[in-house]
Amino acid sequence: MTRYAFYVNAELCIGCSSCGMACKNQYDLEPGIVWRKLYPLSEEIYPYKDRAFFSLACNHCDQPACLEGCPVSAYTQREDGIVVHNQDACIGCRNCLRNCPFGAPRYNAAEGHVEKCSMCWERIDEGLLPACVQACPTTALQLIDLDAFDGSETVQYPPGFPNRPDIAPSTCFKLPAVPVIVRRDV
Amino acid sequence: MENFELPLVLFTLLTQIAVGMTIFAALRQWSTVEGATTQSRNEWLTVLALIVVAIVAAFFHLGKPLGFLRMVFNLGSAWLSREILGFALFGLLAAVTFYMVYAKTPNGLLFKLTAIIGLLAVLTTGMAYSSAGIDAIHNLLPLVFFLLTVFTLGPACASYFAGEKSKNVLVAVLSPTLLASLVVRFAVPFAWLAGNTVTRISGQNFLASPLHWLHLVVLLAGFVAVQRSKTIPSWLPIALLIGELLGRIAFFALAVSSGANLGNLY
Repeated sequence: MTRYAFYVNAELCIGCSSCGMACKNQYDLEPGIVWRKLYPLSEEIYPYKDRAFFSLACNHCDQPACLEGCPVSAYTQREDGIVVHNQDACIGCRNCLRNCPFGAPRYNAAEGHVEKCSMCWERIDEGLLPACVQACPTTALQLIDLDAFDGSETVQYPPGFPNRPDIAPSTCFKLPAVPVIVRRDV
Repeated sequence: MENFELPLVLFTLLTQIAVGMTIFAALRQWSTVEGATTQSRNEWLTVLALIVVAIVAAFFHLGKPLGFLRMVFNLGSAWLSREILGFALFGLLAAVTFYMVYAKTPNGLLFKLTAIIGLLAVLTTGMAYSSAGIDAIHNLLPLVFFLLTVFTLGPACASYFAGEKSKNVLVAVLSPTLLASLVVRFAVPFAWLAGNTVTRISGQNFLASPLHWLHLVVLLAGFVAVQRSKTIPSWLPIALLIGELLGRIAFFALAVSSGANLGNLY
């Protein structure tokens, strides 16, 4: 069985924000609302002149806290792991905003409901890639099937990301590379 | 500072006062120390009014208020659904109790049942706000805070309606609860400083907030006043209400979500 997840390769990510822009264009999001966002790693985590980033949206967790806490059952989880939010069912109580440790659900005050990344399940069902994945110029963001993916070079809870095995986010990360410093002999 | 939700502040605070008053009204009236007097009718009317105002306030929190009836759709896993059901039952029982007191046919069993359902509803509130995304309060602390509010404002507000014989009991409950509330609320932000980064930030937010310290000052003043006078002065419930209001705003505004720290060390 397929279990979809995002693969964030911080070694390849150049921080161009194409992923976030593609997401925003795909869903024509309200100004100020983003479902996918680029988070620069702090100097404590990546203390080099280069910068490194995590491109993050909903992590489509195995035990989604948003789904568990939603009083109107606006969240459902598909068999392939994608956590889908039904905006029409949502009454805007924002309990999911308090429950998600990853800041994925966003409140749309103009519409009075919460929104979040749906992993472009409509596109996936049509055999297409999620908009963010398709737009990434460096292939730093990929859609993977966890059951078939070789995760030997990945980590699930890198520094800069909450360590929440109780919720089990599905996103996999490859850590940014340590820059090679070339010195010449004097 | 996270957004503080005034409707939620009012909903949680007012329902907890109502539950506290119900518990002490039930204790006094059930034990027939006091019968169905005009005072007790006013007391139950106050309880009912608090519940109504709390529910109206809660509507202002919802993006789509007309969808409130669907809030009990997820009783299987959502504490928020259980909270809504709990307070709906509590409100219904309080209304029936008020009617029976008004009709001078009070029922001791109904008093007790209303108080127990109210207490269970507060338990669901405590669990609903033990939010998985906010490390500092993803535990039993919200429940502890809320119960302290119930047993602080409950006896304090009940003192306006209690007969002279009952006031000693209210003082006996209020005094240690004020002390416990003071100790817990003073210690918790310091304990948070020993937690992970976001929990530490929550602790720092509390310790730097005038809301938090004013709340503690009010609790301390209340404790000293009750200890000295051995009564509940008429100004005290109002002062405690203001203190709890400040504390509740701090609770909703100052505890930091994990999501606010993405990209930084946890």
